[in-house]
Amino acid sequence: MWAIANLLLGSVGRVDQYGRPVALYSRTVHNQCPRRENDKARIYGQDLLCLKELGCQGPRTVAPCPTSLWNNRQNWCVDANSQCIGCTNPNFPGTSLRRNSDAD
Amino acid sequence: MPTNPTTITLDPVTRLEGHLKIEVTVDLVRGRQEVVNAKATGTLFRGFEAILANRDPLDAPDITQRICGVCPVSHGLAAVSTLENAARFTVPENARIMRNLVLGSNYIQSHILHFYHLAVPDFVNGPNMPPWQPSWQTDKHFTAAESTILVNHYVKALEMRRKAHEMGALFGGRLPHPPAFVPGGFTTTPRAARISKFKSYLSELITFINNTYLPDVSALAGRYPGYSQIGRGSGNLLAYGVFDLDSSGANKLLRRGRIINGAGQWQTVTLNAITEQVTYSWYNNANNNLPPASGATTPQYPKLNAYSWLKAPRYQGEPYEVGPLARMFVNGDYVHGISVLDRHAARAEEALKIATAMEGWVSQLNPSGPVYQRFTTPASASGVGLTEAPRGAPGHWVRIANGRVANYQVVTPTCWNASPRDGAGKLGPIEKALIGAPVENLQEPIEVLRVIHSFDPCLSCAVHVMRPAEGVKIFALGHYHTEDEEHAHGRAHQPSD
Repeated sequence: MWAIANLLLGSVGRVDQYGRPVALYSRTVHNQCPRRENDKARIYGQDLLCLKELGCQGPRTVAPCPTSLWNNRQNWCVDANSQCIGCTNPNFPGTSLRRNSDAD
Repeated sequence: MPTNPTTITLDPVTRLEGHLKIEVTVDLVRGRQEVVNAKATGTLFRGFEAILANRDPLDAPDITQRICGVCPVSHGLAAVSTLENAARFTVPENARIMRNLVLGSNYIQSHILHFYHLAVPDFVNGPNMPPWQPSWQTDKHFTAAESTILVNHYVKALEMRRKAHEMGALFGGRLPHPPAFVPGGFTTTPRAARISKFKSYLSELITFINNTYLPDVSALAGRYPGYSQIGRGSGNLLAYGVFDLDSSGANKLLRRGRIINGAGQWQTVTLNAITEQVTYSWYNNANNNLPPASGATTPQYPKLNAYSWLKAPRYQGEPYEVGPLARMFVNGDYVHGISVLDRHAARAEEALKIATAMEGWVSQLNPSGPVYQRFTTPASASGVGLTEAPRGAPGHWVRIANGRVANYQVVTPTCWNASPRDGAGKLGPIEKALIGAPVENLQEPIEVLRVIHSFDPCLSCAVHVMRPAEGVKIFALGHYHTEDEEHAHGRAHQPSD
């Protein structure tokens, strides 16, 4: 919505090498994540835990999800206890999405 | 009136998801101008099976959801069911219920989307502004006052769709492509605040379905009664069933089954009766008529006589229609005819049935109960996952070897409905439904669009270009170009919907 509104107003400002507006795509999901210093989840279905051990792609994914949230701010992946799968990455789905693996 | 058969090509057919081309031949039959032949062409090679080969099976739910932005939830559910079937795994009750709730939310948004934003513009002459104009003027029966009401409901329906998405995201994490569907259960916990918010959204949506959607479908039937006799299709109906009511999946809100030729007894569904034919598809004939469990995706283009990237799924060699009408008919909830109007009516009634059931389900959630149990991918196993998307029955098949995907096959609902001919020359359901459809105005074959749209094919927008093959006329939404102009302009002049 931000991008469409700004396009209508004339410009989304500077874009990165993939054509993404820098205003939205400059910080990693991990650096904006409210759970980044919490205890680590080892299994799905538990609230408030950091999902790093389940293969969270947040540290290597640049996206505004933790602050913009989804669907009129109802939720986002990590608040649903699901790790970031890096869906904004240029090589998505290039690596294993749901757990640490040799590919990482 | 044509003196010779005239072939009209709608490419792409718009206001649907994805890429579909329809070619119809129109001729005089007993003094009436109607469709005498039809070919449906899926124009996009997808290759999700190739993407999944050799991957971690746990990636399948996230990747197959990307097949479609309108019905991703169904592919997510099919994929987790496939892996759980391979591992003989049963999920906790909370997971079963939240999966149903997110899927139900997706049905509600999709059915509202289909009727108001994809189908209604075929029948209503809207205001003099995009996306309503320019448009075809042929065979528009609503009065000006009725049209204004429907246009207002079109706008209201956008808000309702947004709210259905927000409702689903409460448990799904986000929509489309909810991340909460994982083999082993669900990731989100049913916190009380989410349950309460979910109920509030659902109540508003049920009011809209009852007070707006259902009455508008009745109004359509009132102004276009002839469409209860147009677009019958194959007459065979197939449903895999959906919305498990217990952990075994034995009881479902909408049961599994078949109806043969529009009448008679409920019939069982036997999986090994399903095969995919490729005689008229751009795939190697060496892999013709295989069951999906051992299916192969081996593109061959060009190929003599082939005209589609869709395979032709058949049940015991017969074409079957899938979708809300099939589900409601098989379940005994809607036993009337098979036609354009019946598809719209069954879809609207299904929206109410599911939304009403969801009120009960959300109350069954246990905020302190588990949502997930640890899932381990079997090193070597096969699995199948059958469910229902808003527009029909999708199936996923997997074979796992050495802990990786050895083979993954997806048979989508629109593969059934928009399938090309099979080896025996039997037309796919949409092709068959078009035969006999009247075409009042060769320049504006609106009847053809209405038949296609009634199936809600997942292949979104308005008619961009149609090409009468014998002539040099190319049309773009009310405009008229010569072939040269068309090539010179490319697609730049087309409406940017």
